[in-house]
Amino acid sequence: MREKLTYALGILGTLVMLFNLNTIFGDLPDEAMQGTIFRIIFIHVPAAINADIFLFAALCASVAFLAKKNFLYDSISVACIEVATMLLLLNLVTGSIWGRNQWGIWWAWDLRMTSQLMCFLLYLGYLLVRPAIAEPTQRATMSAFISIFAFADVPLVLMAIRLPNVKTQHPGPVLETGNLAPVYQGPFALGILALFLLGTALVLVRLHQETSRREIDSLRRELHSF
Amino acid sequence: MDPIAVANNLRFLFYGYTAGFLILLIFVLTLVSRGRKIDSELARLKALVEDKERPS
Repeated sequence: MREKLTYALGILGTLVMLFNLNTIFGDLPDEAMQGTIFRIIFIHVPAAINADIFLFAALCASVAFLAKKNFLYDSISVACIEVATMLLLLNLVTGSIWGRNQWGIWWAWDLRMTSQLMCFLLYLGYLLVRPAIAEPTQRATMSAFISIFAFADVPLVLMAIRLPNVKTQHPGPVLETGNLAPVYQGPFALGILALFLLGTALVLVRLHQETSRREIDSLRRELHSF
Repeated sequence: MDPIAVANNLRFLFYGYTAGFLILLIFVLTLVSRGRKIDSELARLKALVEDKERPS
């Protein structure tokens, strides 16, 4: 059942993405100011939105683990964080490429970009520290605390372009300011959906691996007891 | 837009999407390879436990 769901989500996500790419490159007109490079928004922003969704899921799972001490929540948390970290990297890299074209620089140390980089580094740290703790309960507890602490950066990233007295190089929120023309809104929403479906499929794959890893740990303990 | 800017735009759009899909592809391949290693380790340990449990 789980395997079928994973394949279904993965295939559906790929189909939605292919359909969307066909629309983005085949049907959409160039943006008046930026030209064709504007199309990078359909991968750059959905990656950030989905990263935040998976990071929020990881936060909930971490809190649930601390409350109930059920290792399934720890597995959900690490699976979501791994996929979200990949999406954050995708967001940072595509944003940097867009910035090089539009601003003439690869990077600007403004609040939005710096806080997003910090977010990526915090969760990368989580993924690097986690395997260093051998004892499973200690590892899961420490991971939950790091996950909750790291999530504090997410609202900062979201608010960075919305704070009244902060000027950033990064553009404002396109949906809220009404700067995204209606013709672009459909592909934008489909971009979010495609990455969400693919991301969920990847989370399920990663979740299965984490369950197998726990089984490996218990088999090792069993072998030591002989 | 002048032709140089258009060409530049296309070049960077290509870089952006290529980088994006490469990151996604590398992540998927890493997951697949890790999954294979975990499955083989699990099978090996299960066989070891069965061997130990079998009365000699």
